Amino acid sequence: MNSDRGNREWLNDYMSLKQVNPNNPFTVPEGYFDELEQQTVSFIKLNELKNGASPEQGFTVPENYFEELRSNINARISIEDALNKEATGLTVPEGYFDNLSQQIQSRIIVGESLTEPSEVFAVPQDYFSHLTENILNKTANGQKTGKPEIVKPRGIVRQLFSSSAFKYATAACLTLAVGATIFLSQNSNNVVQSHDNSFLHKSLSAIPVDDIQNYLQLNVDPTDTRTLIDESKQVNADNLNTDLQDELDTSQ
Amino acid sequence: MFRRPPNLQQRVITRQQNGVSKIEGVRERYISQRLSLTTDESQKFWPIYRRYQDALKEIRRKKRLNNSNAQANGTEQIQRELYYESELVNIRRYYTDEFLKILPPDKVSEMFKSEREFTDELIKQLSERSEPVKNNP
Repeated sequence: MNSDRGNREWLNDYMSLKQVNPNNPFTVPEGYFDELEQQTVSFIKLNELKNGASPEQGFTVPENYFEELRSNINARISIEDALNKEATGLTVPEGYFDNLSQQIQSRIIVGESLTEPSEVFAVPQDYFSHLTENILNKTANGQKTGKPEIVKPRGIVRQLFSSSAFKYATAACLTLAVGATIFLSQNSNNVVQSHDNSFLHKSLSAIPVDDIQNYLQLNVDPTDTRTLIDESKQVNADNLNTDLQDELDTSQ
Repeated sequence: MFRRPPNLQQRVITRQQNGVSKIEGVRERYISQRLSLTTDESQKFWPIYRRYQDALKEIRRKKRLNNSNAQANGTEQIQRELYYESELVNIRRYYTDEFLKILPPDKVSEMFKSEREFTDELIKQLSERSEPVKNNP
């Protein structure tokens, strides 16, 4: 009790302290203690991780890492194999590398043998030293020795391509070809027309003028045509075509 | 008054008819050549075509008579002239329908064109032949 009283007595000594609100001004944030444990644990883990960055303490092996390692590696290999097969389809033939060195060597040998022909052409021994002599023997000396030399009769060789006659011949051929083409094409265009006309012309040329007049009188009705033909003792060829054409155009 | 003996007149008419029918024969050959008809078309076409030509010829003949000097001038003559004109058109219209029943349209067109060409050719012949006659009347 003394101590209690003593404790309270000092308040009287300091009046200013009495004026201070005796209520506790410190408050705990809401839900502070609910999350405290979790926060503490996570804080500890973070500290561990920070410390673990140093090589002496770090490098921890995940749980069950080595137990599943083998199967993981195998799975990765098989996946990569499958991917590579699909992507490139390139495979090494069986036994490729076994025979590789042998094949390379054989290729080299073949290549060498192919280049050899350049060496095949060799000059016979002492060919050039006797060359002049040989030539003379076959030509000048041969004549001296009276060997019967066969001289082939040489015909006159005309160079067709360089002569001017060839140029003219070419020009003539071209002209002929172009002319023939134009002529034939014109003819072929007019074949039907000319044939029809020729048929009509041929058939009608045998028919007397009177008959033609009679026919036209019956078949071409316009009055002017009739009078033209009737009165024209003779038809004026200059006017007839135009007159009749106009008349026909209007009447038929 | 001198009258030509009937047999002579008859002969002249027959000769004219022969000449005309000869030209008509040429016309038919020309048309058949231009139309290149099939056997079936040809069998149906020619009877109709001849009836068509006969009908036209008959109207033209009447029209010529109507226009001859023997006919009195007047309204009646003019009316008849117009009537024949319309008859010609009616005949052409009727027979064109008939032709269209048995031939494709382009062949019918071709037929009319061939007729025109034939007439043109006749006129051409006439003008060609008139030249020497003119110098020598």
